[in-house]
Amino acid sequence: MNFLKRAFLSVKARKGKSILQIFVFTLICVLVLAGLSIQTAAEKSGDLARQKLGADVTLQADMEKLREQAMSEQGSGGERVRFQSVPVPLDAAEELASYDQIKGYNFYSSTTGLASGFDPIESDSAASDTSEESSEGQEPGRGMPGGMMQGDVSLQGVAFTDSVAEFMDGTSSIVEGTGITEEHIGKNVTLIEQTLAEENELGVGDKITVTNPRDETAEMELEVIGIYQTGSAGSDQAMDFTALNPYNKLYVPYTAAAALKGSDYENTIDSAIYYIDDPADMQSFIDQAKAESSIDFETFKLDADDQIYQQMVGPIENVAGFSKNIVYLVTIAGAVILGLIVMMSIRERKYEMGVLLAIGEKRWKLAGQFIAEILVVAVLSLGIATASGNVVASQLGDQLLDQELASAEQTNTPESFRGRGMGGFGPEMMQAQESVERVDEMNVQVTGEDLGFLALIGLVIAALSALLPSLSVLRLQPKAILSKQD
Amino acid sequence: MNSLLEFKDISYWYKHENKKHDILKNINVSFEKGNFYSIIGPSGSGKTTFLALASALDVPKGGEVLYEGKDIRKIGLTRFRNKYVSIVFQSYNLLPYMTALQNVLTAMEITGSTAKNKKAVAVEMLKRVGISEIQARQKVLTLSGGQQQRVSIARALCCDAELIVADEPTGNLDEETALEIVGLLRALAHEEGKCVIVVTHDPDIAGDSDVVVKLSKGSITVTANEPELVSN
Repeated sequence: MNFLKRAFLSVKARKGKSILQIFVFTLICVLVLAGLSIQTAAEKSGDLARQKLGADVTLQADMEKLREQAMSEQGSGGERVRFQSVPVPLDAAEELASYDQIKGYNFYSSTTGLASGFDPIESDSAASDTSEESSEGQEPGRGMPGGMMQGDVSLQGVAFTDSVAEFMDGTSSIVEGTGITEEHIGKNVTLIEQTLAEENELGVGDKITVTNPRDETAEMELEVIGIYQTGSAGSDQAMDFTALNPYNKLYVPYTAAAALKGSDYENTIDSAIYYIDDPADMQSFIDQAKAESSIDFETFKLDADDQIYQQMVGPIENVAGFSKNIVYLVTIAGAVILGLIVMMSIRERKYEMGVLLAIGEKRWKLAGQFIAEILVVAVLSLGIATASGNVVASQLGDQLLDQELASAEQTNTPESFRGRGMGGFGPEMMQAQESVERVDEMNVQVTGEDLGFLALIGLVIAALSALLPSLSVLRLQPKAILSKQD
Repeated sequence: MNSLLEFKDISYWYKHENKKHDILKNINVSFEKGNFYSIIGPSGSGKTTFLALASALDVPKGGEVLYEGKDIRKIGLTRFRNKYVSIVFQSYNLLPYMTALQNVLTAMEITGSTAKNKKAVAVEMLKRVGISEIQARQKVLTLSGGQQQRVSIARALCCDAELIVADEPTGNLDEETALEIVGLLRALAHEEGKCVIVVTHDPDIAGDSDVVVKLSKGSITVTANEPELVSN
């Protein structure tokens, strides 16, 4: 009867202790498996969220740095700080668009214009002011304090309308004609809002003229290539500034917007947005840009806004982090507890070992017997854990995630809103809350990979818990053991 | 005749409260195959120590234990116990979670018994010492003390070792069974050419043995029931 058979017999004969060991080992395995499964599920959820959300990086002037520079210059020169727009050179923006991490991009250049030969849609308050303003000889919505002129239409210069946020999220959609694409760059074309088109009886192919409010001699004729419809509510400011009225937004190629702004803005844009497939690549994109591009990062910055992603996956990442700690903790604690149980068992079995050594059994086989015994326990425990792990992992994962979500909800709710119910939220807040859909469920499923990893951890625990106590066997002297027994 | 086991200038002592207590002093004795030896002596005379040295459960403080002329330390104590000696313990020393048969089979496996059908050999040996097949399949703890002693003897006899050492093997047996066991040990020596060394208090066993080694105050006296067998 070799040591493996002896191990099996021993486990069978010592039912009470074996059941205790199986119970402890199963508990360890179930917790480890739950931890592993939750991590896997969290990773999958994170991946899905990433795929769903993507990520974008904005290239724009680093206003904070510019302000700091201006402040330091003010300190030395004594002049007042002035806001100064710093356009992004087009070639620098195009350079980044060719990087591998990029799945899409858009360039933005915005300005306002004065409608010439067509009427912008007026806001209610602007309309009620008409009589007063008219009496002073000023057109509605155009006056600014200090006699400055403002535009009554806004021109949103883009490279592509299909990747503009409002078109992507369905707030706006093209109802006639086409949107702006690469082929329109350099051309004076526009996409106008349906209400504006109807009010002015404009259609695709018609031409409209806008002028630069700061230089009314600079005018631009734009051909209408498409009409879109918007569901945007706009902002309260639109009541005072006609150009901010969502119906008065004209989409034009960024080249047209830059041209209307003046020659200083030739071959420049306000900002560029780069869409990255996987937020995980975001940092590598930024690093590559800083290392390889000609962009002056003292003036410009790449703003990686993965805040929404972080908010979405924050709770599950916390759960995953917690479950990772569970795996470490349970593995170490499990190995120690099992080691102590095996150690106690070995102390009780010194007599048995003395007999076997007296008969001529090799010491390594005695150690092998203990390892085999714990392996028998391990196999049974792994079996039970495999059968029950899914349910436990799922329950544990849900509970942890619920706690994290509740905690995140509490953290993100302003103090003043607490206890007021939903009535305390304004429309913008509601919108912001809705736009971040937290991942609030995980599909915790035990995978083959999890089981493989569990088996590995189980073997490590078994080996550690049996090997160290088994080392004591190597020091045993059969005569001493047997004479003590006698 | 060449000796199988030889004690050469063997000394053994222990220290208690910084005082040396001699157990064996410069003992020289040899044991040959085909003989049945008895080790006798009063309590504390060093019989168990003598047996522990003969079975490589302990090593002498001085001198050498030679097996076929080779120091058993050079053979290796574990290897020696595994291949060259079978031990019958006074307190049986059976594995409690096994049946009688499993105990015997375990020893056969450990010592690398060459028997083709180990189970049949084990059952047969158990029968020879008075353990029925039904008893052979019972856990040893359900057997009486005498039955456990028989299992212990069967375990030692099933192995292929040339040297059999036994510590009071009949101490827990009734007279009839004791006689049978002694007869069996004698037969192993005389018919199968084994060297059997038995520690005993029983004068009848000593009388039945070929050579009696008497231990007293650290020295020995060797008496041969067959005088020509005494080599030292």
